[in-house]
Amino acid sequence: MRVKTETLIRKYKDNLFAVAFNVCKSAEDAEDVVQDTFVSYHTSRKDFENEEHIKAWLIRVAINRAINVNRSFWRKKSVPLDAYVETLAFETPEAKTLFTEVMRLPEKYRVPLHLFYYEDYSISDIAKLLSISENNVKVRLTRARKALKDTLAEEWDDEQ
Amino acid sequence: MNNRDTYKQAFSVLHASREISLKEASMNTKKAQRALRPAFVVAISVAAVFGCLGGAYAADLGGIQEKIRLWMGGESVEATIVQDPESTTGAYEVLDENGEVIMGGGGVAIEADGTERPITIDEAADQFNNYVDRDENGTVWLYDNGQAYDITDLVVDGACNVVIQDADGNPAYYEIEDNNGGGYAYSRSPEPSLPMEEYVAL
Repeated sequence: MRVKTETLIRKYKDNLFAVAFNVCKSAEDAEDVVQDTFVSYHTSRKDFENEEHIKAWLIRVAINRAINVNRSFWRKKSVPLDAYVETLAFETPEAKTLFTEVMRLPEKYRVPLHLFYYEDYSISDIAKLLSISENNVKVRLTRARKALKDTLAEEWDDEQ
Repeated sequence: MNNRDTYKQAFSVLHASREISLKEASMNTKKAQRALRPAFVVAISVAAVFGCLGGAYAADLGGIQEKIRLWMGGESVEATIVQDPESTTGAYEVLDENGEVIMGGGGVAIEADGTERPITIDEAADQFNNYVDRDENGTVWLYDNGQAYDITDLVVDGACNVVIQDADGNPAYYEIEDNNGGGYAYSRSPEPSLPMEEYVAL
């Protein structure tokens, strides 16, 4: 099946932006990644099983492209992360603190964390998306949670 | 709130603000400005835009330049490679005998110890021998280090992704797009940037 690209843009562009930002830590680069990812879908003739399959494909492409941007020689000069964070309208001070602490984690912890908590993917789904083993996903999530728990204490204490 | 809700609340502030353009030509330009990090030993990845720079001429042929021979349309032709005057490092332009810019691109090499450096003019010259072109019969060819691959049937809706084995047996991943009649843009990398199932092996 295929879904119109315009429909996917409307539904998922913020999801792709968030996951790309998680990798790049740059809004400008994340915007580029979102653009490139939707163009890739639009020019692809790949047939998908369902919309969840499409969403997973988009996220996987966005992550790969974002990683490539990170490794690119020609990274754009962008707004420093701290300055960008100050422009975001967090609902609470705790939300801002969590956001900042997540961004301090290594990339290999941030991405599984985001896919688990924000996109509600299972361990198995994350393993497939990142082409790593389920055990590896569990280890990364455990270490990420511990790092957040160490810095946020009671603000990060409820896994239910 | 539990951790999941807390996380969602924190990251719900992120919104894409730029309008998505599905006719975004700059995607090709961006590709030409990106290079991927290959693993281990010195390796180079160059993205080049071919044939879509018609009308642009090099204003100043000073600086680093070198005569090279390129395979174009199955023929070996002489061209000049110059350092991109708008770039301080790593980006180059290829000029035909009239001084018209016919190709552009650049890249980064990763040394064995992980340090990055702009590719040299010789390394760039090697990479510019890889390109995509349509001949007078309408056949679309991918040229890679002297090897020619007919990819006509693989180009669907102006795009295709292929992987080849280079002379050393290493994979080279190509993402190719038709520049709406302005030639083909491609990126070539030793690592895939799309899921593997997106590439056709040649």
